[in-house]
Amino acid sequence: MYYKPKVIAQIAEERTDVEGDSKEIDFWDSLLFLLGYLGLSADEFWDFQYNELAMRYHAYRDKRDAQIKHDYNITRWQSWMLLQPHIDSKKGGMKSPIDLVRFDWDEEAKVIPLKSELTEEQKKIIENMDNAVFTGGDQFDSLVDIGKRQEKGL
Amino acid sequence: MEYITINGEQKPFRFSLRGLKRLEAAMGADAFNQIMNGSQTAFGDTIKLGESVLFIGLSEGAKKAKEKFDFKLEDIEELLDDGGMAFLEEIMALFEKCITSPK
Repeated sequence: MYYKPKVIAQIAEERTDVEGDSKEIDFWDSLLFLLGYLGLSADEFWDFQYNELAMRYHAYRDKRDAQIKHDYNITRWQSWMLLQPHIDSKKGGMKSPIDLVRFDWDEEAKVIPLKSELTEEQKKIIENMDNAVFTGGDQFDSLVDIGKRQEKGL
Repeated sequence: MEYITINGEQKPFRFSLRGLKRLEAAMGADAFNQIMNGSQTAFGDTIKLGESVLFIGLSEGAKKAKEKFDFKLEDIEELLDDGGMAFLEEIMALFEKCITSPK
């Protein structure tokens, strides 16, 4: 009715990662954990409104994740540069740092180009979509699946 | 800072974590957990919640805005009686806004 404890669930998730324990975490216990995460004084903490604290926590997470990605990318780039003298790129060696090691966020950033020509199967799905009320993501998922198969040449 | 109209005047309304702690003390731990987990509360609890939320919200708001807080709990009961369900809903919407996570 009033609120879904998303931040509480996220903190519980983070603490489970750190402590390896899936115990249920109390509302106040979770929020007080943010004192340490965000480096707040007790007075500052109690003066925060819940939504303000949640925003600050999200900003902290975004900044931390960006820093981690940056550090990993720099380390990968340095390693790739160090390996350059020993790699024969003409023989299909590592042409970019991504070829050295692939991280999760590389996949996120990859853009799949759209094919300009549709197959008969895709045309049929689109016709069905035009004639029926769109009920969800099923038809779209089918189109994406076909597109992926085409990319792989299947 | 949020504002609520009381007797034609805009009054500051705020619900800090200190306010939530006060609400827990007023409602009891079980009812508080029910509220924070989004579970349905009994009608009596909803009225009590409305009273407590308005009282705490106004006192926290006055403190933050450095204004004088001149309400008593009896005044709050009267305000709720006069305003009816529409006023209660307005209070709860304001409370929800203060404690809802943006993401």
